[in-house]
Amino acid sequence: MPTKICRFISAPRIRIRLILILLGLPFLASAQDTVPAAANDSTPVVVVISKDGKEKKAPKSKKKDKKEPSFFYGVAVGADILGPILKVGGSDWRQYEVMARVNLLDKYFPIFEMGIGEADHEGHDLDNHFKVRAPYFRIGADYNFTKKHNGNRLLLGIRYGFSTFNYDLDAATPLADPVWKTEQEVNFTSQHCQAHWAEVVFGVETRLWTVVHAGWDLRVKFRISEKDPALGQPWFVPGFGKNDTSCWGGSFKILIDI
Amino acid sequence: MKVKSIICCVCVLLLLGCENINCPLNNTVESVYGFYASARSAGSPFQPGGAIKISDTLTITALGADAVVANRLVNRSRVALPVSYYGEIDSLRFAFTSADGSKAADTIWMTKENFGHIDDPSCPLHMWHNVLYVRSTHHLIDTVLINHTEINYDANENLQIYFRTQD
Repeated sequence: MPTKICRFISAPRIRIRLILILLGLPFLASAQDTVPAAANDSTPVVVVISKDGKEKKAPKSKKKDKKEPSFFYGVAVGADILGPILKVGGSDWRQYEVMARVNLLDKYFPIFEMGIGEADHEGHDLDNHFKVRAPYFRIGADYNFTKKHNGNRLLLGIRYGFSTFNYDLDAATPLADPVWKTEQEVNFTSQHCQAHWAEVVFGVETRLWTVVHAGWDLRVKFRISEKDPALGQPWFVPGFGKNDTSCWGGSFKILIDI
Repeated sequence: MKVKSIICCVCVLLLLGCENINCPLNNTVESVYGFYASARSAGSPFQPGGAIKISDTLTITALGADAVVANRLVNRSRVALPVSYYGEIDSLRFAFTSADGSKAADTIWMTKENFGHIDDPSCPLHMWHNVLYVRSTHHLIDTVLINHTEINYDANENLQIYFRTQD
């Protein structure tokens, strides 16, 4: 008499096929859907046939079925579009910036930002003319406070920024000595500076399209150290902004998941 | 959420549009000379004495510029003088006239390097200096010491003039 493996099936060949199909279901499910295993309900059912003909279910692994988000969600690259807007708007300083960001657990976002900062500024009542164009670099990380993984993010982060650059200062009017009655052209070129600073970043971001994100951030920046030439502090530090011990900044960025 | 985002963006742009200019209020660049008595006795090495006030009338002329930079000063223990913007050596003639009409004069040559300094493009450019070397004649002056090499807005006492008092 054939051994029963199911209430309605009693053939030995069918018995073996059924066991194989049941064992393979989870693998088929995971191959068809990239969502983590727990997202579907294809729980494997393994039937073990005992010698006495009674059917027993194999114990299930509960933890294995629980949803575990992947650690590495991907990399995104992007650009700050505020710089070109400031240039069109006639601002005397602007920054062109690109960035690369890693998404870990959709919570932690290590980020590298680099760009070119430029300024072409003239004094208000005097004709002193300050000019700089130099690269800058920032490294840091953001933390996402939102709990849903729907592409909308509320970010708080920190950055370390660095720039080494040369600036020029000239003036149309020569500088005259009132006592010795001599004068010289004002033309100071390649005045070397180095600046290090820290930033606290608050930003929001949303998904515009499947892989395209847009967001803005507001940053408060603190000078860590600065090496200035004898001529004095630069009016503008690439990546930092108008020079002071601290200043505000921001960006409006478009990011693409790659 | 959308309205809040727009408000924050506007705030950012407004912040970027703000500007403040920090020009220093004290922006006079002068070399400061302090007057001291030399405690040197005849044949002995230099000994610095205390600060003194010059009771004689003192007139200081910038040689080369032919400009009087300090006129008929009396009872002064220090004096602040202009520095040439571009010259390598400033020559200053210190002429003393006593109450009885007797006159004496010394010349001080100050060798220096000059460099521009500016705090903001909206502030005026000034020349700052670094004193390298000083020498003088010795009619009334015993020794001139460099106290602070940097001549800038700080108005530190740059040179100390020690006058003969023991002769």
